[in-house]
Amino acid sequence: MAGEEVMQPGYREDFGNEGNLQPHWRKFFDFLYAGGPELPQRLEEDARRLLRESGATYNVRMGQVSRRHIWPLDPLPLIVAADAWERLAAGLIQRHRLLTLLLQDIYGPRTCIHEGVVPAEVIYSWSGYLLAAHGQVPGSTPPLPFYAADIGRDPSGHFLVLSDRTQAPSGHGYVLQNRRVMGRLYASTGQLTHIPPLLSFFRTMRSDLVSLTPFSKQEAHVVLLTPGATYETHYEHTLLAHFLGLTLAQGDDLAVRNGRLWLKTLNGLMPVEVVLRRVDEAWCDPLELRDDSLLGVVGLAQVARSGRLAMANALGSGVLENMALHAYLPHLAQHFLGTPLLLENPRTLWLGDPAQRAEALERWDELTILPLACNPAFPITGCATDTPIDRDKVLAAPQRFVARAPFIPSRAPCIRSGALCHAPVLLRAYLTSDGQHARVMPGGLARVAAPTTGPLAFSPNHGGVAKDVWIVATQPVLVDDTLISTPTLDPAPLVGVPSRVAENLFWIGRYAERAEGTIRLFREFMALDTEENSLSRHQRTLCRRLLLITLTHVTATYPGFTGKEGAYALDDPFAELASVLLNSERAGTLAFSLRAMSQAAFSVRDRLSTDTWEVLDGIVEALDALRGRLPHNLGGMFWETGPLLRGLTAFGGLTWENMNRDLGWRFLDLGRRLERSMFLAQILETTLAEPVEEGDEAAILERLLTINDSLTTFRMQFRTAMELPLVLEKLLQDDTDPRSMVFQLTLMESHAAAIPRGSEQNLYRTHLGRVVFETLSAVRLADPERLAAITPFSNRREQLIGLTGRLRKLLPLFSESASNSYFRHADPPHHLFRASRSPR
Amino acid sequence: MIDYRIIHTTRYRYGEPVTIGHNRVHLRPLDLPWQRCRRFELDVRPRPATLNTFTDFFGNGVDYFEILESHRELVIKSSSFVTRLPPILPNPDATPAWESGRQGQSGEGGDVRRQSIFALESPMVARSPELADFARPDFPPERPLVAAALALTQRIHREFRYQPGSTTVATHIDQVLEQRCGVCQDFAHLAIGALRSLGLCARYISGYLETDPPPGMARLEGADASHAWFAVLVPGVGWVDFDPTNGIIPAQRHITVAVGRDYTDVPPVKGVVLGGREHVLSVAVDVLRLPTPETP
Repeated sequence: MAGEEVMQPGYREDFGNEGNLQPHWRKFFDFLYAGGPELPQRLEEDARRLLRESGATYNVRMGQVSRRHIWPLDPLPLIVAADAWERLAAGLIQRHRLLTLLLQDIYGPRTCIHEGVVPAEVIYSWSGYLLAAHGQVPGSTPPLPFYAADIGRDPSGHFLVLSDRTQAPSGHGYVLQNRRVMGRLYASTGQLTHIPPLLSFFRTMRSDLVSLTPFSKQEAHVVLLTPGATYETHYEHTLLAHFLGLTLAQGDDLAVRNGRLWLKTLNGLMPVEVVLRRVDEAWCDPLELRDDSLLGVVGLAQVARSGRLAMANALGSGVLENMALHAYLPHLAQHFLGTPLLLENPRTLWLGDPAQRAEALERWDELTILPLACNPAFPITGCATDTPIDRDKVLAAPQRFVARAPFIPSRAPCIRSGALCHAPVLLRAYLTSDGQHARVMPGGLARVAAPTTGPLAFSPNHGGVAKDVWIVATQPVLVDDTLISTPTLDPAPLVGVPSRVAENLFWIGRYAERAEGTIRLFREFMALDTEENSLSRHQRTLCRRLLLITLTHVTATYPGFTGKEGAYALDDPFAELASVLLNSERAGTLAFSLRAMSQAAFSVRDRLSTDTWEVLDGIVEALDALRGRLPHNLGGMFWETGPLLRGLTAFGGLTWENMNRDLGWRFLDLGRRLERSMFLAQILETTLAEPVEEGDEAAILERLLTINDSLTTFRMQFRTAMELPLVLEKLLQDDTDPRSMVFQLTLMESHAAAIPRGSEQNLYRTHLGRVVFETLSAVRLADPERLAAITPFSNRREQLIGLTGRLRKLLPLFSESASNSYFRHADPPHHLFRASRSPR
Repeated sequence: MIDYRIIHTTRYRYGEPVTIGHNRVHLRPLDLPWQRCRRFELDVRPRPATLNTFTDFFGNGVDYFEILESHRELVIKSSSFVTRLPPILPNPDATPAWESGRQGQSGEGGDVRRQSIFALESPMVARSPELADFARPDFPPERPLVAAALALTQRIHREFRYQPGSTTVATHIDQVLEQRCGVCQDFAHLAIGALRSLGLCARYISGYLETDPPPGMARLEGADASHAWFAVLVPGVGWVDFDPTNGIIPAQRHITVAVGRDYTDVPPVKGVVLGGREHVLSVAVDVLRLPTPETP
């Protein structure tokens, strides 16, 4: 550790103000110094590898696109002594009680305003104050079951609250993730024996959530309402939903009907009694809140108001996040509790008040001016940090600003680029409550500031790094006995797959299969030139052309290699091939399919196993690598597509082996089978419609069998020459070949039979059932000899064309039918009042 | 004392079937010291699956309903029977100086503090130095509040042209101030913005006017649809209404439905539907004075 760092301001977490190693850090420092000079770098690398493996991400939005980044975690913990933590926890519990009373007062009798404890403007003019939150059934459910506070330690070592998180406290999932990684990093070091585990806090949290239900606590259906996969902390939502056993739902998965909230599933509407809300409250209901929101549920505010739904936290709780309130909290503590605050804020002045403004103007240069619009400390992601603010701008609208005593956060050891250093640190502490008992998480989410010279930046967008928080007890933590002694409530299972999830799974199946088919075609095309075979030059050219034309058809990237424009591309295919494979902006290309698949997969991340995420991330990485160093020749591309193909095959295997055979899986497999049968119909038609000489035909048939992975088995079954009827029988009608047409269609039929049909008992009376039955019969009844026959006048295989044409017409109907019956997302809601006539 | 029967019909015709609709309506006339709602009926076709009534922040009765049956036409018909009494009006020149109604004054009274939300900005009404300047000529120091507010009301009536179609529900006050014309909602917002810019509490009122005037009386502007005006909080007196569209203090021909900070708090009908594409809206309001029982 460099000597000059000791001179920097701020309390030192490890050495205190006197420069003595604090007892609660001793054990960790022993480990750190015993590990040798390589240890920091090793810890950093291991942590990053573990995070990458577990797929821990957050999204950074840049304009329309959002990109995923690996969650940054410092491998050193922030260690807090148990006795200091107990005082902090007591302060947090008191603060939560105060904020709860204040919240109930604001949306109830408003004594704090009427008695002049808080200026009306501080409440009413804050964007988090929602008129729609008035009129709730009074006192029916605790409005603030979850609470978090961003906390720092001032130079004297005291904890101060920099901001309160009340409207949808976040980051729990990242805490879990951090602890999981730390657990593995330090598993064999004995460091964790004195650290209380987090599991029991999360069980309490789940139990508190369930206890909110206005109906039977044994039958509470709970969803986590998320804004969706592109939202910055979506990963955290999936992790938390998974851990708490909640169904992850987006606004359009839910609907208000008959005064209740429901989850739209393939089995119909399922009631929901409790919502863990991670959509910001203003976006929750386009009828009563922001009318431009597509993230909410129409009528949600009314259901909550009527008392038939509980939300954690209640709508309107964002009113407490106003920093201007900090100027009044000491008075409010007296007003509501009759006691002083245990856990204070840095001294804050609200500039809307003339007296406070005058004071601020006097001490302008020593104070930090903050706009109310941005709640700093550290949001989990995003939000700019303090920037100098022009005095005239402040005085033009002083009510929008606070002045705060400067706060210098403490510094803690961390690892940066393989070396130990000290950096400013803040921490977010969490509380859960059932309205009677509050409990503070024995840990939290700490954040290290980015190594910048300007204002401190704690958000990961600005280079901030997360840290696990260890509360070190003086005695080893043996068993968490609260786990055994306290009975907890569990959410009731929400059976049924949300329609949106089924739709995404269906498309994952289709895109994965399409990508695989594209790669197989391309690789077979390459193999013609690079591998030894007995083909003549003419035969090679013929096969190459047919494969390229098929490629255009199956990817629908017209004109591609077809028609007049295609003739040139056939002679010099590199440019077009590179585009069909790698241009992600062009619909139908390999890169496009893989992107679409990855997006669909990300939005149903909670439905896929960790192994599957890893494989998917690998596929995206392989694609990025391929696009990053664009090969200059086809040979290069051949090698580069290998990892992609292996990734897709692994994905196929995992979904087949590891996914629960629920309806979601059926939809995924349905998509895959549909795409595979369409591929097969297409390739047969393109390559075999026009007859060629016998020798050439054998060459084509061999390609067909290879692409379909059936060449070896064909040879074992038929020790004869390549005869078209035999090949057709194998590709179309062999029940034992997992790539044959009937194999796909039979599976599709069984999926169709298993999907709920509403009141209709008979599969073959549904559109889906009729389509699949008609398709399957056509294939089963076809006579291979006749399919192979050449029609004299047209000199084409009209029977074969008839069959493939029919398949190509029927199979898309299947997709359409599934979409109409199960995925049909109604049009976006439409507002009536916008165009309504103004009163006169 | 006058009895009125009010029938307010809102009709939406959709281009395509609507499968689901959620609506909230502010159609239930308030009870006030000078007004009693004797009966209220809401008739919605198609029939709603659920209908709830609740009281909002401002004390208005809000009806919320869901329609779950496919329809191409939605008809919301409200029928009210309201008894209107003459307002209890103070002598305008004897009311307290306007400055005493300002919010945030050191000696501000409890009634002003309780209503202070009406002195703050709201979604459609910002406060600005320009709006304060606009009001200033009518608010010299110490002028009695009601006299000053009446002068402002009459000036808006005099200087602004009433012109249906010149604005929409979303028109901003600045534009109204600029173009010097608008409809009742714009004039109410303008006056509210001017008063709030002076620090006073002003609220928006959504209501009706008697459709056909009694013999010998002029027809008031805005009588064929819902009407809007404003009120100002007078310390020691309470809310006093003013109608800038007609330049008067409402007497017995105005019926209040709902009050709020501005239009966005009390739109008569607000809804979100699934499907429907385009819609055509028609509104009809009929306010009929019922014959007074013969007095012996």
